[in-house]
Amino acid sequence: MVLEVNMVSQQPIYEQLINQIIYGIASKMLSPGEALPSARRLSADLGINYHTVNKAYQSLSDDGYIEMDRRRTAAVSGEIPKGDSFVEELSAQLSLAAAQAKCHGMSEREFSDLAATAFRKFEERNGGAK
Amino acid sequence: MNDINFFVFLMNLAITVLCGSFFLIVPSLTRKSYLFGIKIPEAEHGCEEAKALKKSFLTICVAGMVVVAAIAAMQYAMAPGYSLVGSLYYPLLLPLVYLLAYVPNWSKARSLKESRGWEVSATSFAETKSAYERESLAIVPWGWHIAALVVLAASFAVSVARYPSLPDVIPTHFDINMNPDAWSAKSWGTVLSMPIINFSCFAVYLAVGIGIVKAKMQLSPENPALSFAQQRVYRIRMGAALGLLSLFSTCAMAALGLSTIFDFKAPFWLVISSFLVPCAVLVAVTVASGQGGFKIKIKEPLDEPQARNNRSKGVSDDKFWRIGMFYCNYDDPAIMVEDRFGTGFGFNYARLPVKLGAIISIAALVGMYIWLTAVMAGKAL
Repeated sequence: MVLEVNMVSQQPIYEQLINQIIYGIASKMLSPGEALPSARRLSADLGINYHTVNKAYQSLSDDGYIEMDRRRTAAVSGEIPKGDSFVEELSAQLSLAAAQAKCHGMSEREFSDLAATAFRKFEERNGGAK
Repeated sequence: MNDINFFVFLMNLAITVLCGSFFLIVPSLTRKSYLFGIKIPEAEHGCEEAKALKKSFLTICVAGMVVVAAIAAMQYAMAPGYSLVGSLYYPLLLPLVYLLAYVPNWSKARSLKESRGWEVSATSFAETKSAYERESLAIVPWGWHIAALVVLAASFAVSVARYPSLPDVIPTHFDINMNPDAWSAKSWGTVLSMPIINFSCFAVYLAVGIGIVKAKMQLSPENPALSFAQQRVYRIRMGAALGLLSLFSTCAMAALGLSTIFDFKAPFWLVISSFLVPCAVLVAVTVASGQGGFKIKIKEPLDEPQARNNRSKGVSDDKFWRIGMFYCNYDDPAIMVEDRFGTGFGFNYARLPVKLGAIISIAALVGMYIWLTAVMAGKAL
């Protein structure tokens, strides 16, 4: 998959990387076990600081999306655990999203429809990819 | 002796015309997103001002070539004995012509971008698929390089085995008919110098071959997926051409080396064509592919390019490119990067190995020039 970083975005570059890799895994553009470029290679291709990529990889590895071996090479995890801490974190994110929806006058139905549509997009892509 | 001087004079003219002709096609080998080292929107590539800059570059190059050729002709007419020394210095005048044609246009391109308020992509791209090939160097044509290494090892072994039975004086230089015209006393240094030079050249070809695979991959913002596919083909082609050069030049130099210790003549045309043919292949690949392979047609289906609207005036990596030619970015760990003008690769001068390499190369070049000038001026008639 093509990763891209926008140098003028308000969002920090390491977050842009983390989000894209998670999207890539969910939509099967990155398959389990697939090797990712080394942090040095990726930072060289993107022309960004090595530590920025390392920070993104470290965070992805902490959350179980990727695995790093002793030589610091990264690969997409075979199985990504659905641990308690993940559910807790996701619940907090949804809580903020729900609060935002509420502020903008959205109903519960509208909110859950949006969530379902977003989720289905990845299911469809998975079907399409196969 | 005059014959040799005339031959060298013709060589000087040929080098001037060949290099000059290559200068003339450089703008057409450059990606459309760069104008004299300045990043511009691809759509503006064909605008009148950009065309005028390219025309001025070509005019200065042609004028410069004519001047260098005239200097070579005047030197031959007035002091033909200095043709050989001249052949050292005319190639130095050519980069000067190149810079004279380039720098004013780089400066004008920079002002043009500013005055027109051109916005360029603020996004950079990386393809994750390249991970395996580039980390494991899978696209280096190892077969060619290993064959070259076998030839090298054989020439070392033969030189060492032959050493005890060599006469006290051995030839070390040959004229155009491959008859020896210089001799040295027998020593390990004399006998092994050719294999050592040969090995150094091989090491350079191999290092460049590996460097090309590992070099920073700059993907075009208009269509990154296509750009990646083109880059991949470009690197495979360049690697193959370098592999060819590595094997052919190693064989040619091994033949030359062995002709100093055995009684046989390596045919001149064979030795010269062993260098020229792979070099011609390299130039052909370069011209046919364009910078980063942007001219290569890709047949396999690719992901549809996504509409991208992330252009910005504020951000540009132009500031990392000194005179649009020398890359120096302390944040970027890349060592080899694509050139912005013409085709080929340059270096990131912010990296310590590159700085050291540049200092050593310049020192070696200056040293070599002083030494060669002394040797050739001594022979001048």
